[in-house]
Amino acid sequence: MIVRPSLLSIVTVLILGLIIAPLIVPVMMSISDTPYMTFPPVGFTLDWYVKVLSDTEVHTSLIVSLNLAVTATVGALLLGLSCAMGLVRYRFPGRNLILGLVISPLIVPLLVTGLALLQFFSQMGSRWTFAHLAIGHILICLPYVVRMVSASLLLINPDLENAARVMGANPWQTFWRVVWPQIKPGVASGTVFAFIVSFDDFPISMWLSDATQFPLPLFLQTAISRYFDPSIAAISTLMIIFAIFLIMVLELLLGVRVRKIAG
Amino acid sequence: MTHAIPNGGSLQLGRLGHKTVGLLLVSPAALFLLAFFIIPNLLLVAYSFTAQMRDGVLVTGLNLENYRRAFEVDLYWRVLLRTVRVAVTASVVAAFFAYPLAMVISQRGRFAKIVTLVVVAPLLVNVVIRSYAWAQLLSRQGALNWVLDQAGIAENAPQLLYTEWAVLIASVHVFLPFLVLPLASAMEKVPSTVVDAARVAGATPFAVFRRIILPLSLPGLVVGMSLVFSLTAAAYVTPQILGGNFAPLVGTLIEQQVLSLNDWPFGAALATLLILTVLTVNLVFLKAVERRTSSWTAGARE
Amino acid sequence: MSRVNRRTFGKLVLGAGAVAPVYFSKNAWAQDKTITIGIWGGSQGEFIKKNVIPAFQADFGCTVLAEEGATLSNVSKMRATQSNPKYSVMFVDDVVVSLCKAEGLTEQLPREKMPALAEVFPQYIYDDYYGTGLGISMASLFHNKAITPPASYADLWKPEWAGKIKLVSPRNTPAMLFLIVAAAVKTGKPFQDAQYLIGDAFDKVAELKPNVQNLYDSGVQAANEVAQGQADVGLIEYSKYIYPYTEKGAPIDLGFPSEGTFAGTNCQVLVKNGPEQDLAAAFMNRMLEPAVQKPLSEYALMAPPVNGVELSDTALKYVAYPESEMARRNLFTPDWAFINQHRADWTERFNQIFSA
Repeated sequence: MIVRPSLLSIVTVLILGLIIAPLIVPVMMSISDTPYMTFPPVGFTLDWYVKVLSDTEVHTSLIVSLNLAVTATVGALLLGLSCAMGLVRYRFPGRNLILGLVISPLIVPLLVTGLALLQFFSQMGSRWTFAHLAIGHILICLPYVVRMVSASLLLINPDLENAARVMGANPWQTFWRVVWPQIKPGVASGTVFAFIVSFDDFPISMWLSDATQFPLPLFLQTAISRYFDPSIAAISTLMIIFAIFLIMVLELLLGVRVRKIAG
Repeated sequence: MTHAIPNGGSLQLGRLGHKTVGLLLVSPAALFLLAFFIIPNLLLVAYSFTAQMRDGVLVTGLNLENYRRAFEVDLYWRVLLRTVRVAVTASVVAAFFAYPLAMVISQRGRFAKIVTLVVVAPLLVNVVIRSYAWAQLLSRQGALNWVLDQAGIAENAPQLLYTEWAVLIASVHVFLPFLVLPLASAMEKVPSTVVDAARVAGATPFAVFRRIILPLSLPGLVVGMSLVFSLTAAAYVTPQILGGNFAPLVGTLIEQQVLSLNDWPFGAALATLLILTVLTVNLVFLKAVERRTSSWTAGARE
Repeated sequence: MSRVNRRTFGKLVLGAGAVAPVYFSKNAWAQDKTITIGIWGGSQGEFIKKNVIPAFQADFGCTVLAEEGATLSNVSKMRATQSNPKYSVMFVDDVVVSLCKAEGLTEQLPREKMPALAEVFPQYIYDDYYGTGLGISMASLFHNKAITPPASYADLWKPEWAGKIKLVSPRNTPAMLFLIVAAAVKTGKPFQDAQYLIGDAFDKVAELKPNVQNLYDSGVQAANEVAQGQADVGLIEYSKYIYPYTEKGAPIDLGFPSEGTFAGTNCQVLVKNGPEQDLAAAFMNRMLEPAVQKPLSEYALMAPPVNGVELSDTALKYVAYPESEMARRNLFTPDWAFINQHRADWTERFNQIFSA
């Protein structure tokens, strides 16, 4: 179904260039040997990387973000796995309602959900910031986990489960021996994606975080308005390298089809 | 998001009935969403009707003052309009960029794989960094003007940074993958036999696109465009970094009202208006295209 | 706040009072306690986070959590947590110290627990000990060194500045100083009289719009962009956001138009019923000690509000210190009580001009 291979390829390559170009600019600016940012870069130095990597605030925020992402991912998996099983394999009253409910955190603007949670928690007088953040992050990870696990459940032939049951397997055995091996790719992509969604979240964290729990994306925004020198470009470059690393993990180790991420 | 439910594929736990097991399985997630999503959001909406800040003092009681203010002071309704305008434009522009990419991806093969990776890559780079990178690209002494200058195309070109254009460009870039991927999935479902048949029958590539690919990819397009619309309309980081307060969207105003001015009720009202806008546009969008899809695809499917 | 702590603290103060400087050998009472404080961003905030707080934590065995924010958002945080205070110390601009006191957000400083108060210049003790200065900045326009700054603010309204000016956003206090400038340019009156005429000066503000490139939230970011040449001039900003970068070699400097220069004083206040008030007082005291004031002032290039700080020659090039130099510069401090009454309204009008 190629329209005109050459034309389509040329247009595609041009668009790919547009997608990548803005990501290259901070990489170039990060090596500029000037006390302020400039393009094109002047001279060469890696000082800004040293400065950023030895910054304790960066370390603290990174640890907060990692803790949060792990907690949110585990939480979303616990809730999402059984929810996906229930939605795909069972019919019960209100099933469509639950379906709508599960994807609704993606429809209501995250910015608003974050504000609503902040108001909710402060009305309850709760001060446990990490729990607030974790709950907010589970909310936004849950739809992706449910969607990806459901998608892989739908691919399984339910006859296999029936066969296992007929042959005397109890429900748990059926799940672990028959269902689990087949939905593992769905669970893996759900896990990776939940992790990324939480790790990158800004609009929920901006309301719920405080000085004790200050995730990396928020620190990045503070850094933009604080650092005068190219160290912010250095942080950006490191984040981009981290993203490339994530893509490689996705592609090579998990064999997950990357496009599932937003599809 | 409707799944076909295969008959008899379910697990029966002991004496519990089919329905009960299903409900038990979904209930933890459902209760979690009820407690931490539905109730807080409803409380927020309710708050916008029951509280008001008058000269820095919180006054409670049923009132519409916050909404009167939002529509009477031109600042607020103008920003709402801008939010809708930018979000609609972003989803339309993104659609133009998405089609060639999605077509390549749907053809599979090595090139398709590379395209997929490049399209997804920005998604993994934090939105703060992406917006910041655009700021460096679009400023007066930025990379874009430097290139234009070096190439002799334009000297001292005006800067795009801190205009609505900058917000638009970056929004398209940031949210493009959300449109490309559903579109590619939809296109993959177009049977290649149909396309081949059309070709053999002598259809031009353009006709193939207009008559077959476009109608059949519409569901993916609608899903993707409504995603881009919703994400752009609710964006905070991108307009904040690239708009320079000249082109704020509603998100910025909400943050300002709550965190800087301490006017929670008015912030809640603006948030309610944002929810309404996103839901309405999504619904209208889906309905309008659903009708067209069914009539178009009815012809193409048979 | 347990009583035992207060008593123990009192004894320690009595004991330590004789032994100057006031570094307790062992601050056991503060062990494992935590206070949360609100500070500013920029190089000043960076210095406090990276130097002052770690040293204080080491000396007291306590934890100090610092949140960065601007004055207005820091006040909002205090209001939002008033019934169940979370913060112990807040850094705010002089602008709002009396407002905070009037709203019952802050508490009088415990003078007996803050020996360093004795060396603070009287004009930097606010509202009968409801706040002290921490550092005095000059506030004026800043510009790229490659251009000649205008001799008068009035020049900035000329078309030759089209798109070349960065203006501070109304979230930040210096925006109010800009409104005074606009009123002064419109009426030709000095700042002292012009500040009461701001309400009628918004047409003048609107006239400047074609020359304004954007409204900035972060002084550091704006300074950076002016240094890069994205814009020629920025107004109005505190010297603490500009001079540290001038000193590091960035092509940026403060300009002083003929209308005059403002004083901007950073202050600290004690949050009413905030957690661990004794530790909070100890921290505020620490902020005023010469051992902190000297490096902080030299790093952020602000004038110390306390007597007897020996600043380096480099720092003296940039700051109005000691007192005699402050007097010579004749820095203008606005009538904040008047301005605060109108700030919400003016902010909305400001936004309507630029953001609608």
